[in-house]
Amino acid sequence: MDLTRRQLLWAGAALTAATVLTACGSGGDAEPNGSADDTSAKPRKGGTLRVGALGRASAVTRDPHGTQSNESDYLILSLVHDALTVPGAKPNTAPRLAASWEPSADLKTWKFKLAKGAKFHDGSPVTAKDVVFSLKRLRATPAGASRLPGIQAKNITAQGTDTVVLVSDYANAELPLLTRLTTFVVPDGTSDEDIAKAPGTGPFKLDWFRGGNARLVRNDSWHGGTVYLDAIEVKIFESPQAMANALLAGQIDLASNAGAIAARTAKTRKDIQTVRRPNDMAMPIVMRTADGPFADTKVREALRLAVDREAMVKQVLSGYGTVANDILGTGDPAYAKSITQRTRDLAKARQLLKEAGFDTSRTYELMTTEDISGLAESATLFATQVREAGVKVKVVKQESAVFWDKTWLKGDLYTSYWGTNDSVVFFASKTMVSDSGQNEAGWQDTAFDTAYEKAIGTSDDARRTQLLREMQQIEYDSSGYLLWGMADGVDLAAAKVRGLPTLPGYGRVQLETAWLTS
Amino acid sequence: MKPLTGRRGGSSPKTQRRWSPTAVLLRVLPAAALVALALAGPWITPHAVDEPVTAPFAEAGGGALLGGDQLGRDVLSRVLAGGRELVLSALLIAAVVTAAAAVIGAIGALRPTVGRVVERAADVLILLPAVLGIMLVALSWPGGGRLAVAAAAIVLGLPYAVRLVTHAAAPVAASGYVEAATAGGERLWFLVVRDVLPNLRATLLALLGLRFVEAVYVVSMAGFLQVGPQPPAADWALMIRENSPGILLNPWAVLAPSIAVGLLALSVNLAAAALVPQTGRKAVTLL
Repeated sequence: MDLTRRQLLWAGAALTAATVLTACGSGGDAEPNGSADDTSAKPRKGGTLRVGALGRASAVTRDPHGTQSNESDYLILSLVHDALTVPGAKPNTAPRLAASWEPSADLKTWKFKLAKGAKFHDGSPVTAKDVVFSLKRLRATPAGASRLPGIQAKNITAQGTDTVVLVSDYANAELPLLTRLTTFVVPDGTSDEDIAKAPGTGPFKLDWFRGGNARLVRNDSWHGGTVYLDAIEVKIFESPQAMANALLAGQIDLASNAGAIAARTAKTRKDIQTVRRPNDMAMPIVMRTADGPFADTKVREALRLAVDREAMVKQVLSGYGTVANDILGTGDPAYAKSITQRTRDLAKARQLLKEAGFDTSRTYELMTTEDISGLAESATLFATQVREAGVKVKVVKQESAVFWDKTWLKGDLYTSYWGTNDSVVFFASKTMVSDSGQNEAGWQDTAFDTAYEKAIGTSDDARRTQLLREMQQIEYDSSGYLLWGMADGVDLAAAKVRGLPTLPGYGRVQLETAWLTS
Repeated sequence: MKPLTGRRGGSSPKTQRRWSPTAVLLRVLPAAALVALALAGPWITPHAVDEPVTAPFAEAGGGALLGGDQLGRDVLSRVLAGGRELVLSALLIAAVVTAAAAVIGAIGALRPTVGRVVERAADVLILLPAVLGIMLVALSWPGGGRLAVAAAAIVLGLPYAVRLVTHAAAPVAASGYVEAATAGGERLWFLVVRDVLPNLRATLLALLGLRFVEAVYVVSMAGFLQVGPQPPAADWALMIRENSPGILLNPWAVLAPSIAVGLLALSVNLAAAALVPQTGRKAVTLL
């Protein structure tokens, strides 16, 4: 299976029951009983934040460029190491180790200027050489090609001590966005054996690490601003239930990604705040477009019309989510809200199936896994719903490894999930353009490819927005995705915790702004 | 040749405790009712088992007497529908294990050489943990579902049952009439079916009850480990697993199927004990 995907996934393969990822309608900030957005109080220095994160000890990785399938690993690595950029609210890419960036006129050459005063934990300054080394190391991972798409290792160079130059094979206006993910920087020349001990540049320094549990202490000379917490203790949990129980018992202060069921369970507790991060995760149903029973666009549209989106959000996500419109990238500022929301229309679905000559006497298999909670449930409910349009679907639950090996990218009908990003272009580049490495539905559409190339190749905002709108319309009309809804990320925290992240996807690990009331 | 006396005269009437027909009926009734309810359950569900009627893990009340499960489906309906296949597979396993053990055990008692081999093999197999066996079968037979679980349960349940029957049959095999029949040139099959087994009625009935209870546990465990029935099937064991994250929101989603499994095992055990012919108690106590 493809490592990139794993690494990009919201949660790792066997976090299964784990992620009771669910989401709320309007969310974003803490619910009324919470006080995370209490802005009247002034941040206070000091205290140790005890964080629970999901993971399995058997999948622990200490390599910042490795495959991080554990929430806990990703959390620790991104607090110790800085990526070039980080997720932001508006625009959706904010500076971190790279203070600024600038493209050439043709959008192929990008210059990232490093933040002034950035230092490794051992005191040595961060130079462009360190960044070039780290990016090349990242590029050399098995999934390097999709982590830094279009950028060959030889085209990553240093200019002076504080500028890194990336030359893309094609014009790409979205390059800074891609560096948000795992472009963690380690010192030049770090060998593979020393990688776990390599000093980072992040807001926290590693104090100790034991099998997925770790203690991080404040980096007082961090270049990125004031860090309030004295320390963060990360504790690994195998199930969201265990994590939520630990929070309720006061053993941890923050349960990261505890999910909707845990949030509903904790609702009666006045001392627990719930933070909902909307647009956190997409759980689309993938219909194969290249061949097989769903190759006909009419059949795919029929299925999109047969699903009851509101019911899916209500039953699968306990209402902790929002209805989606078959377009991935709902968190993108350029997301086309103007495209009509698809709603259930069984009569039209039946008619389309008839026109397409779809064989309704057959039973079709919908493959799914239990990687994240809600996924198998969404498949089950989907099967019940489309039966009303005359399509017989049987849900087949596969072991995680088998699913990613045999079904993903190949199956006719299966569930998928993406918990990383919020941009239309990101999904297009990863999963929809004809030559993308993870084209889940085997979809090829020349008009879409053209619009995509133009969109990433233009720097004119208005023109770009228009092209992005065009891409989304094509995706809405004919892609292989049925995206019924977006799950919220749901974090639970003790009342004393303030300044928690509210961004979706990878935004959840930005704990450097957190602080504790006395 | 009629196999009779030898065993029957063995126990004195004084040591026997006879239950009145009413007492037997009272002990059998719960099991019969529960099994009947489980078998008929799928036809009497108030709601469709696969359609949400309420919020996920909604508390009991309103349209759903026992609240909602993980997808907001009616817990009561799913509990009613979720027992039939469990009962049927447990019955099948119990019947096959008992029948096979009866024949193998009787042969073992009549032919000491065979008996020793069978007993040694059984001793080794008894040591194999049931969970391990089930996982092995399920993994090597993907998609086997309930059939795979039943096969595993039969193979794993057999050694113990064989050992029990062999011991119970040993005194019978050593009795005078069997010796006489052997001397008369009767074939092995005839000895087993006509001479030995009829004398083991009580043991076999007790065994059947015991194997049924055991089968309920094994099949439920498989369901809980998700190697047997697959969602969205309504199944008691599966329900316990699926709904455990929401136990604090709607306890009934987990409690109801748990109680059902427990009650089934208890009541069948009770019924089997009551149904065992009193005359045969000694054959059991000999063990």
